[in-house]
Amino acid sequence: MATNPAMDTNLPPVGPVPPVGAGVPAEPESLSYIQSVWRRFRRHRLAMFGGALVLALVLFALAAPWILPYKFDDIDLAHRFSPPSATHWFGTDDLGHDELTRVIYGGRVSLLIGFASAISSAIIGMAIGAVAGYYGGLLDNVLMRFTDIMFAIPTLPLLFVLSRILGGSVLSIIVVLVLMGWMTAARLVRGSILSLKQREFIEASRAVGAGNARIIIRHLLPNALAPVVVASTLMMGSNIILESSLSYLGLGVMPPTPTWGNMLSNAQEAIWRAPWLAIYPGIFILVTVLGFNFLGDGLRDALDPKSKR
Amino acid sequence: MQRYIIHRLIQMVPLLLGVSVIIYFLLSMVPGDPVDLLITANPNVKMEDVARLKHAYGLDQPIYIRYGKWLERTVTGDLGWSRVYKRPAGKMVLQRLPNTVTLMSAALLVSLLIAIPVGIYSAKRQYSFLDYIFTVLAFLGQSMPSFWFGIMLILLFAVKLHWLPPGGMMDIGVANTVFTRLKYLILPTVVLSLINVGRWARYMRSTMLEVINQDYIRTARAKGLTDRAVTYRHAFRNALIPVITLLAIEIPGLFSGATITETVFSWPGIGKLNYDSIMLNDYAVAMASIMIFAILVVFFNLVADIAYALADPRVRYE
Repeated sequence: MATNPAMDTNLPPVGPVPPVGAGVPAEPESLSYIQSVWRRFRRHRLAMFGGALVLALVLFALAAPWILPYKFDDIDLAHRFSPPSATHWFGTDDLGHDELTRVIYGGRVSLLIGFASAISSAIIGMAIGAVAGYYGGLLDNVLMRFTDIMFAIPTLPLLFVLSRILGGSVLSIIVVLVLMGWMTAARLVRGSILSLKQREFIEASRAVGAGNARIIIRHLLPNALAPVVVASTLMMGSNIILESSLSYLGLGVMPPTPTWGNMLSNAQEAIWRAPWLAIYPGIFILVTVLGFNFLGDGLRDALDPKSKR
Repeated sequence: MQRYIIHRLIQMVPLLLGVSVIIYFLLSMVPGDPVDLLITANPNVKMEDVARLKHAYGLDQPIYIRYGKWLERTVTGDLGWSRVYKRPAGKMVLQRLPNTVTLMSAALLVSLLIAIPVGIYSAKRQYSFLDYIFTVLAFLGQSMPSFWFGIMLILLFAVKLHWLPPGGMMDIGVANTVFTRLKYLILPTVVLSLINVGRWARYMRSTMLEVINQDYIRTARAKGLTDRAVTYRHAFRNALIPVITLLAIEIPGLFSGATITETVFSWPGIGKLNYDSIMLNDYAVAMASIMIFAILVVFFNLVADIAYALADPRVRYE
């Protein structure tokens, strides 16, 4: 297990680290790469904190049915708009739903949307970007002109139109966010592959008889992965914000399914009567997205210490 | 330079055509065309009336022909009529444009006035206590949904303290002075600035850090220049160049932000018009408002490239 001494001494955040996997990734090489990434990541206090935050939120969301005394659709009309108390820590809303319960269940939906949309965007974007970058030609041209056009349209108006078309279910919001999100990964991967495919190790693997598919999947994509991982982590956070914005504007997930966005939309109508309803879902969005942003920032430093911000 | 600008202006045409094709086709897929909406409003409509109406609106024709007609009319300056307000869509958009420009300029100004000094300070005192605080604040700002920040500001300054109006641009019975107009502008500006100020400050900090480590800065110091002269005359001006590029990339984001901010504060700009028109199936207005967004985005990208060339004498476009 050869560890590079330069990696140990020049931390953090920038150090002369050898190019990632310059060569066919043999086992010990790739292990030490992951180890060095983990070492850099561990020293990034904010990133560790962000990771812990996200993990805690995911665990809470998963455990929701077992740890919460109420169900998210328990209606209690006798106790509408009750302020935070010992029985209802975050108070109750216009139908007497327990706000804490709904915030945690809303977190399930928001986190699911964040994870699913960012991961799908990354996979689809990587596939398209890899093919375009590797084969070039007409496909690449079409892709680049298309993304040029899409980047000229402001995100939110386009999201409005897409979610009007696809409707307000959890799945359709994920689809809408993926339709918007794949281009980032595609551009990143295309860029990396354009430069990587000129390198000697690709020529070498072609010389030993590797086919195009094998070169892309085994040699090019692993080396183009780091920026996509960072971008996707940040996208999980920004997609949670987008989802909540859409739901807040009545274009996202519809009640009775609670999401942080539609809870806030509901809360604004009752802001004079029950201001606390407007506070908690927002704090949960803030904390979650903060966690993803810290995590993404740490991953950027750990995966790609040479990158500039 | 002139040739470059002309070249770029010509390039805008296919780009904007592409935008219009995509938006037109997407809008045609939104459920409920004008005739469908008439039918739901009036259940006594006969089938032959529906067919006649669809024909009158041109909705029985294939989508590409409809798009062609739209394009033909648009080129002559006719953007169609608002289905909801029965007014020319182009006029409605142009009327709202100044409100959005006011809000965006204010937000841009506030963001830069905060981001640039904070970025310079953080770079000069890297890893200091304040640098750390600014970093955390920048992360907080970026992680907050702007509409929620808006609601919190309304809760505090309008509901609790009664210092500022909760929304709108003007109310009946309020004296129309510059001062009262500013009061309506404050909260939306703060919310719209929040979206970018943290990221811009971080960016200013990192470009500044990069420049400070250059040889010519060391030379300037070695010459015996004051710290002030080195920072502002040599380092800052060079660090500003990448920031100008960033501004161009961020303008589209600012338009998206304006959509949310205007909706939260009922600010009568293009963003709110755009949201309302998409919600109300007001196709002509939706089309016009998205197109004007796209035109502004493309235009600002060009402006930024030109500004970039003016700021950096090494850049010469041919």
